[in-house]
Amino acid sequence: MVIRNYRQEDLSDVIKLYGSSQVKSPFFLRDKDYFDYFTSYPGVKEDSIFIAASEHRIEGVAVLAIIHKRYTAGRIIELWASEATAENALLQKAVKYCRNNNVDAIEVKAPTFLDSGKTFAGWQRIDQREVMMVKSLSLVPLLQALFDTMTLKGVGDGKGFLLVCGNETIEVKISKTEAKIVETDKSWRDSDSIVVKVSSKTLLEIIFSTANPYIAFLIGQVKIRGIRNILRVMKMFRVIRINQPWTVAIVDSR
Amino acid sequence: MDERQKLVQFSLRPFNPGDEANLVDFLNLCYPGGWGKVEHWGWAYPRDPFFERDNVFIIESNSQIVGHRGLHLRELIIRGKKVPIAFLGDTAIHPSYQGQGLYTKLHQATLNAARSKGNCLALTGNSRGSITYNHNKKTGFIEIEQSPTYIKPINYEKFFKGEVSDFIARREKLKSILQGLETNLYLHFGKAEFSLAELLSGNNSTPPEDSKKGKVRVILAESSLSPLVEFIVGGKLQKVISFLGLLFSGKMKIRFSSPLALMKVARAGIKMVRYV
Repeated sequence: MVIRNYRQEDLSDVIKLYGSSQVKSPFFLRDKDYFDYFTSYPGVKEDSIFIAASEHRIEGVAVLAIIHKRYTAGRIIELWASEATAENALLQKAVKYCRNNNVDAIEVKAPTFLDSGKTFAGWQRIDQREVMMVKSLSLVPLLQALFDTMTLKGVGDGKGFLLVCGNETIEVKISKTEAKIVETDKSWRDSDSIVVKVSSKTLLEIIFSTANPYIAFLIGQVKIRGIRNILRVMKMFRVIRINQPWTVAIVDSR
Repeated sequence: MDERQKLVQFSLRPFNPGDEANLVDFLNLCYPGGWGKVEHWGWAYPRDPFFERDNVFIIESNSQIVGHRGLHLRELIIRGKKVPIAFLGDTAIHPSYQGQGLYTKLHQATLNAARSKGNCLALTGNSRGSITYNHNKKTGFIEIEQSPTYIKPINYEKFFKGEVSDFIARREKLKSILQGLETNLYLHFGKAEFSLAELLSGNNSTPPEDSKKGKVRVILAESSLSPLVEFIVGGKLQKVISFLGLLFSGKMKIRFSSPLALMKVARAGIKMVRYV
């Protein structure tokens, strides 16, 4: 594998790299427009965008910005690789570049989808400084993305769900092959679906694994109509749950 | 609030070309450590592929900018599907206009706009324990786990000095307590050493030491960065645990010329805890 500078003709292969990565964690879309945008970040120079390339394809990309504040900071605003070896090689190149350019400290956010343990030996982890917070504005598109058709088998056992989340009432119709999610004005009293009452905040906490659905049910944050439906609802929560942390680069959090 | 302030009219408007320099001056005024340059604003807003004028929310009073928040529209990929989201950033209310409910109005206006543009999630980045963090927690935001941040200091002296200076600059009350400290306090980080007086004066040279005052040295190991950040961002209990952890793990050592000097620093330290 070689580490070299980025060239304009690499763009489509870089976008392919983003598309081909089997990333299970949520991440922000990267397309041609966004890649052009990232590389125009203040402090990024032509020779501070690195590509990890094997014989036939691009294995990774790193975009480094040098910012002058009270000290000179090297910020790797984007780091994405198909595997840990490419990530490691890109980091080493970035560190070397920083040393040659009198950088006082380098900062990077590690992709969560790679086993980066060894890569960051010698670096100091400071992830507690800034937190990302999220609030639901409309649950339908999110639920549409979350119902993975591969894991629908047995969810609901032929019955749908009616999620009553604050002002939103959402009907989830499940067949063997797909889940159809629609906002409805149906009253939960008239519904023959499994009715689940949960605040949108608690539902988000369950989705992003900051709350345990069983505990939420036991303390009354999740209400389920019909005792026999409890396990069906828990199975549904298991399907929509995301266990992986989000992959967020410095450029995503600005 | 006095009678004149009650009469002040506020208006909410989008970005207009030509606002850039005033906006950046305003943001630099509101972010004590400094927000950045016009160049960065140009990148973060007009250069953004999803930028629209009305993604910038400006509150004005008598033609003066008193509030700002930006909306960055993005798409989140979850299980291979696109989910439209809105990132709320660069929130600022003029220090003289805080406590008048402007933040709440701005917050509501931006959330409504994000919703009306078809986004299903609103995102913000906050320092844990900050006013906006606490407000968001009360209004339905949850914290999510994300990529860890790593730092590799190369020039320990410049890096640590810069970070500590920024940290103090963002906390006026902390600064005034430190200025009133009757002891010469020195910080060591790895091989780097500097006095607190040097940091507070903003000079690179150490001012002459007052020999009548005692001397206290806080010596931090290079590997102490992570627990140090835990100490800064944690709640009161977390701060005590992190402090003891630093001390007993040997990552922090305290040397003093006299018990009286140490007591003075400890007393100031207790006062400082709530502002750190």
